[in-house]
Amino acid sequence: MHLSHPKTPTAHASHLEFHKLRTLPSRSFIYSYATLSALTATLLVVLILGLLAYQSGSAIFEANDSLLGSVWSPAKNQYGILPMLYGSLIVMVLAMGLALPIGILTALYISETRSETVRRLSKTMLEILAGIPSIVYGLIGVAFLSLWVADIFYLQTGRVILTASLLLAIMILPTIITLTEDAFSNVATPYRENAYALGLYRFEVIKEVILPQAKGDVIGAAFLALGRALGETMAVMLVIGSLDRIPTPAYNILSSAQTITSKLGREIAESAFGSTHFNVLVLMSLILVVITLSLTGLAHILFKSAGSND
Amino acid sequence: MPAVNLKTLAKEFNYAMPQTSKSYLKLVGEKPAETAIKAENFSAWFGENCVLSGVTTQIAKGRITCIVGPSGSGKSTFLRSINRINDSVPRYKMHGSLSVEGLDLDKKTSSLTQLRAQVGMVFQKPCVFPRSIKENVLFGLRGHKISRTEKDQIVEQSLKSAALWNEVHLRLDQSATTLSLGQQQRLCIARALAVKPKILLLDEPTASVDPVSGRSIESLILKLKHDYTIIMVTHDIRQTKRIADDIMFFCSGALIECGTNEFMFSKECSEQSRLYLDEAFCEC
Ligand SMILES: Nc1ncnc2c1ncn2[C@@H]1O[C@H](COP(=O)(O)OP(=O)(O)OP(=O)(O)O)[C@@H](O)[C@H]1O
Ligand SMILES: [Mg+2]
Repeated sequence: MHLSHPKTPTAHASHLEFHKLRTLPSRSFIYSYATLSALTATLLVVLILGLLAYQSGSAIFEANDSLLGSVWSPAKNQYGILPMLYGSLIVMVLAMGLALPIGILTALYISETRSETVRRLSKTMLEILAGIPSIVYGLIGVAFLSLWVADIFYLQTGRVILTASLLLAIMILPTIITLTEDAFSNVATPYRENAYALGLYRFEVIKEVILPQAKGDVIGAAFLALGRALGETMAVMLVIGSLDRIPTPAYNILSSAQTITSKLGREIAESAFGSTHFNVLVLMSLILVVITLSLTGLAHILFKSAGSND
Repeated sequence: MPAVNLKTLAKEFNYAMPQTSKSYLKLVGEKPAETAIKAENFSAWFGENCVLSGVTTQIAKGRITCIVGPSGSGKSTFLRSINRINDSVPRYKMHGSLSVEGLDLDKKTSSLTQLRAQVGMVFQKPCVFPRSIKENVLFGLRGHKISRTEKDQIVEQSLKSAALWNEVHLRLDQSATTLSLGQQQRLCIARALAVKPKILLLDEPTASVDPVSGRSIESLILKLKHDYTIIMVTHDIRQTKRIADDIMFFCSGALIECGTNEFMFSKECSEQSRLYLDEAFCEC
């Protein structure tokens, strides 16, 4: 070893000193910097939550009896948030119901054909799709999707729950495909090979080996996509129709509605700061943040438990 | 540049010729055994990297054929080509013909699943599914309609043949991942046996087990010989001498020579094979 690196003892010592001088402080610097950043981030989250809670606290006092109703009419001091909660829920469920099966099947196709070309091509496409700004999706929704929906179902307006869900499904599809495809590809090759070597058909390998192994990651991916669907504002706002009412019957997805995000997007700038109207909007945003945070937390737990499985 | 030694050149040329299969047929006896696997000018690539070149040989039914050769010489690749597991490896290409029990593997029409049900394989690294021991044994029988008692019979029979029954019969419902590595290897053998294949491909079945389990697997292989055609890769020359009927010697992707156990360990075989088998020395 010392033959290949001829060094005088002094040179070696000075090298060591240099090493000490250079790395030790910088390492502790990195540690403190990281700690600081982590603290700042946590503090920010707490701060945001605190501010939201503070503002919305007064909303609960000011609009308490109307809050859980389904009538939204600031002029009559009615602030029912149920239509928005319901709108968010139904749009999210529909979008997930559409995107999840399609996404998982597509991901299975990409990962199980085991073709590098297919994989690379589709990954590039998905990256491009995921990178398109949501306002562009919104424009596509307004210009094409809502018109098609109106045509197909003979509606006066195509800006309805179904259109919003379809658009949202398209928007979260890249996320779902990318994440679940990773989950499927991460199933170790030997499992596949052993299963195929036992004479199992491809669908049996998928059902018995791939899906069970990737289950945790797939659920995690679904939750992340769910969070994204819940938080999407622009595109949804443009095609949901902005009707602050629970449709009748409730399952009528061909009627206009309102989600939490579209409501906030429309009205937060117009409402006077500190007014009941404003505070109720803040309360809704708090609800949104709490739901999104718990979904993310749930996704983390599921990802983790899936990781510790094998 | 040194003068070319004609003798070595001729020798080298000779090694590369597919004459080996002729000498092999001669050595097997007047009436050659039925062939289970027949390779003709079979080559394989991973991308641009040629890992098997022009392998021509026949493997006899009901015998134990040991594949030996240095690491990276393409033994596993040859074995994995037989049941076409390599097909799903990206950038894998093959050329030439390789037929198993008369099913020509080149023709896309022959069903891979049908082929794989006839050719059981135990891989170099044991890999059990994260399920119970019992489910692992029955894994290849999914889609078959079998009654409970039949299932139990198959599990018992397969585990007994794989010399694992005594160790696990009280914990069949425990996860297979709790087994030791050597036990997992034998579970893989049991799993392959449960499908009742005709041919058994074993890739270094004793490499990850202790000498005692290794011996028990060896005696198991000798027992199985009566019902199966066995092709196994091994690095253990003494083991080869103990159990092989036929030996194939691979080096740098070429089948250098093959012949019966007696022939390959006699003085008649080529210099290169003799060097590898006797002195663990290889110059390719
Ligand atoms: N999936 C793969 N992709 C690319 N190259 C591969 C792949 N599998 C094997 N190879 C290459 O093919 C060659 C032969 O490998 P193979 O596994 O058949 O060797 P082997 O004789 O079984 O060696 P060992 O005794 O170490 O198991 C090696 O050079 C290896 O790097
Ligand atoms: Mg190998």
